[in-house]
Amino acid sequence: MIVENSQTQMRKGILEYCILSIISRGEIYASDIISELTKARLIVVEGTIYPLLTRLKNNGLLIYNWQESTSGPPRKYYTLSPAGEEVLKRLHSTWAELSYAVEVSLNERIIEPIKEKS
Amino acid sequence: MNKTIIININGIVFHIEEDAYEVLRTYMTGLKRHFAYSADSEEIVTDIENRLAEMFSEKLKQGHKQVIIVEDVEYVTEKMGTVDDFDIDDEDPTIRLSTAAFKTEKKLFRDMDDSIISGVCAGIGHYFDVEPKWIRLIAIITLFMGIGIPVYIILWLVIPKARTRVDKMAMKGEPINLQNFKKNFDEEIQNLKSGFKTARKEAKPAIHQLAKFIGKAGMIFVKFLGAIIILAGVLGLFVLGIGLITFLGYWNGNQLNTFPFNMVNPGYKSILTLSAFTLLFIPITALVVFAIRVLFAHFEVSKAVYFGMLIIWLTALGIGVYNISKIGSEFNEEAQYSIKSNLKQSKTFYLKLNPVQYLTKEDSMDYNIDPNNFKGRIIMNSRRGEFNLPRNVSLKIVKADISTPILIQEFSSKGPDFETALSFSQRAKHRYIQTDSLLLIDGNIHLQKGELWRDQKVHLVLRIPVSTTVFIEGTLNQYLEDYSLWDCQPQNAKKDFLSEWIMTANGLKCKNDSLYNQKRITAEPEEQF
Repeated sequence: MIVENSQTQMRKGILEYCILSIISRGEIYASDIISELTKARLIVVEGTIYPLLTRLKNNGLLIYNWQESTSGPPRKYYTLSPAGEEVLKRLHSTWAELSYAVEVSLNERIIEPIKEKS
Repeated sequence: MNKTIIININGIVFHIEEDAYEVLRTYMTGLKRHFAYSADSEEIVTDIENRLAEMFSEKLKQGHKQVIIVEDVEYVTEKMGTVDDFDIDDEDPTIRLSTAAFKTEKKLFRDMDDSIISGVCAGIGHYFDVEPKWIRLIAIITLFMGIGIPVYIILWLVIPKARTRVDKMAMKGEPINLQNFKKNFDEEIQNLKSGFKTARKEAKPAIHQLAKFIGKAGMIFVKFLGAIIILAGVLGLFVLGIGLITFLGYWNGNQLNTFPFNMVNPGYKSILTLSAFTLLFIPITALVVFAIRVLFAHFEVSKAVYFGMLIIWLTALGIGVYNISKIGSEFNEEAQYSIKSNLKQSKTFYLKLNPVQYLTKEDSMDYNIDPNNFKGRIIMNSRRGEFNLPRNVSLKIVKADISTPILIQEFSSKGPDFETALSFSQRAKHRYIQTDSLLLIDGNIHLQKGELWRDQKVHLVLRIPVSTTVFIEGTLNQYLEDYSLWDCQPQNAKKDFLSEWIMTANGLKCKNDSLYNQKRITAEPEEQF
């Protein structure tokens, strides 16, 4: 139980951090964010991201533009808001601290993530 | 060949096969249900819908086709993920709680898909996780015991049909989520395809006809019963109303003076009657209202009405209990009051219960018995008032230390305080008549007209000198303390048999004691052999 819970907590925090980082690279469409995340092996299904994006947007971290699409309804393209940039900056430093903490704790043993068959 | 449906996802039109549509619809319903608890529900669902539409468009373009089929829906929903996958983002623990509660709640429905008559047994089977055949077996057994039919009809009426898919899943206790929606739907499709259900239906047309007939007959029976309840209830309320008025008039007019009504102080009469009336009135009204509701489906009664009736009923109960306990407190104290009278001397006494249940004109006046209604006439065996009180006379025969026989009447009464109790006991009257050796004793205490009953009693102590002979009538046995007249009379003696006793230095003795005792002794061995 406890293990599961901390796993979920870690994933959740990092997922948000990653999403903000991906969006910070420039205007991006939701399903492209997902392909990025899938590449990073962080997310499997698309449905997960919509509630997250909506929440981040409603918290004022994201803004979006409607853009016409050739293959269906108009798409939402997300960018970071100034507040989002600010949060991301803070997250960067937090992450640096955390990764330092983890590195020190692990005593420079490097754990390779299990590679998936592709 | 397949039927297609035209759907519109946020402004984009698609042609979709019927099966695929059902799957998609179920998926969307599950999604909406899942996000129903979050604030951004609409936006999230719209985003997902848009993405689904986009993916469908891509699919159609890739395959150069025009209609969405089940496989497309499955591919798309798989990519989008199921409700369970979304749980990663559940921030609010209440969401989890509410979905969990949603999952575990099992409801009782009639299962129309697996029914023989009306699906009652199948539904109960689902509810208790037992195969329906066992429930049916029990049903058939109880049917022969006679209680099965009414119970079945009641269950039929009370348990709702499982109409929607959600109902059916709740009936089976399946968690209401996307996978189960899909599974449930697939099963249904499967059933339809194999014609399983229709075939079964054809195989039992007779039973279904019978079921319809029983259903109709049952409804007629219930309606008939309901009509009777309504009629009887309304009549009962009417009678109750008239009874209330009459009773209040009678009681407050002091016409009703029998025990136990004469226990109640005048001040409490109206309120006690009203609360008793309410206690009866409310349940009958509720029954009538309920029957009307059952008979006429459109007749709606708000819960507030029932609740209000319950509150009034409880209030009446409270007032009743309060007043009764107040009356009870009138019995707190006890007081005694004695009258000592010398009797005429006699060597022999004949003790009898006064057989005449009427009083002379003088006595009627003397004891204030119904002076208004009967104007001093002789009252024969009055059934009203004084004669119907609980047993209140007791008699004790003891040795007198002097040569004069004495009768002491010890009156006692209860009351809220000592003074009141004493005045109650002083107002109580008891009568005896001595004619030479004959002593007639009244079997009842006499209360004044309109007097409250406060457990007035008289304890008679008859003191007679040693070696006086006393003949005691059998009817006095129930009043006599310490002795039993049965010990001093032959078996099968008549009620008015006079048993002969003598007063000794050690108290009263049966004169022919040896005779009756011997009889008993000789009788016993016979029984043993």
